[in-house]
Amino acid sequence: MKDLFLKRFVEAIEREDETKMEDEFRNYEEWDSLASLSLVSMIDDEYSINFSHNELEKMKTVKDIYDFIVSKSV
Amino acid sequence: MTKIVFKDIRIAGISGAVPKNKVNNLKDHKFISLEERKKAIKLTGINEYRKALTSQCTSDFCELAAKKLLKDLRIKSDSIDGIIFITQTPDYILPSTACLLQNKLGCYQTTLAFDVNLGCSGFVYGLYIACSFIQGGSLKRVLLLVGDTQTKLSYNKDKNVVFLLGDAGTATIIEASPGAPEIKMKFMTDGSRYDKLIVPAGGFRFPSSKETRTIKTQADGGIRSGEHIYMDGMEIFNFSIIDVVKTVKEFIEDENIEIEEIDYLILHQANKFMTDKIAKKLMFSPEKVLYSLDYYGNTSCASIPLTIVHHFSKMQDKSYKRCLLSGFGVGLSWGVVDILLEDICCPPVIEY
Repeated sequence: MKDLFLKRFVEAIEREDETKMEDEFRNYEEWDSLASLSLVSMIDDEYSINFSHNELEKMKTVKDIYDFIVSKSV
Repeated sequence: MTKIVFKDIRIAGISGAVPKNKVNNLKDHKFISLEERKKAIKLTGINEYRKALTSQCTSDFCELAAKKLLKDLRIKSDSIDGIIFITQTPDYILPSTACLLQNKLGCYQTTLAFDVNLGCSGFVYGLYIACSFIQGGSLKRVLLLVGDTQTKLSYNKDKNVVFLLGDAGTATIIEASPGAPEIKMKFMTDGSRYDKLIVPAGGFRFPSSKETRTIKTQADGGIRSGEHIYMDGMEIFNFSIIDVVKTVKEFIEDENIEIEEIDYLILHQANKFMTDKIAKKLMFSPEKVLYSLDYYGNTSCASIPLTIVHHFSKMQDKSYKRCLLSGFGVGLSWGVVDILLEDICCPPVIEY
């Protein structure tokens, strides 16, 4: 599930470079408001999960996003 | 609440007018990198939009559209019983611009006239108001004027809005018509999220001051003044794909609408990324979804009628088209309408 999430994450934000779970995604060159909307859209499409601006603010790393999805999937 | 159904009322015609002055999302906005400009165009689907001159107000475009429509329909202005002007950019704080238009259009003094402050949901709400006044019995014909010059409320160096918001004015004639098929509607409001799309200062809650007029970096990182439009992109996106989709789905189920029977889905032209998603979730095939944002951008309340005009003015056979309309946004306010557009008069978009 983790690998599939990473694959989807990278596709959504159109990132070409290596991506690790510990990365702080806001430091990515690709990260902007368009990327954040693509991410929201992907998570809605693939996991049927929605989150607010405030919830996203709390997430720092790629792993934080993954953990959030796992917690909402239970 | 009981269902909203109107009988024996039809839309006779719709017309639209836009500024001649264009803004090109690829060539203009030199303060943003070419790469970012391309990305924004890809996301929004907006290549260009229209920007009114300082001397041009929303009412000017609506007035032009109205005069053209009356001419083509061969209707005299003295047959108009009511003028409803839906806008967030009136000529004056007071009086209602609709009053000025009563005079400018040469309508009788017995005409009802007033403004309504609504944005993206404005056209569908306007249809509700017009139909209610006709069904109530007293009015036979209503002129619904819907438009905005949002570019005057946006800061031209704010990346969040500079690719999106355009100007336009439209006019629709709604009239009593015995035998016309039912028009069904549903409306929603959520004031708890009022601050997700807002001009925070310049009203009476936070009056205009030197401070509110100063361009500076705001809490969300955007650069603008307190008297410019602020939009929380993510919240509005979530709202559209969750709440709006839910309302339209419920409406379709409650009214036993078969998607196959709908000819066109016409959504508020917010941005293509969002509207494509809504259409997909509602399971409408792409060829049924009408767009005009590639030419005009997001024109607030005018976007639905302008999209209809953009397409229907060129349509070979527009005799019988069942349309599902949905306006959603600022308020937060949203609504959906199921209506048959039967041989409506649709002159080409006017450029002024």
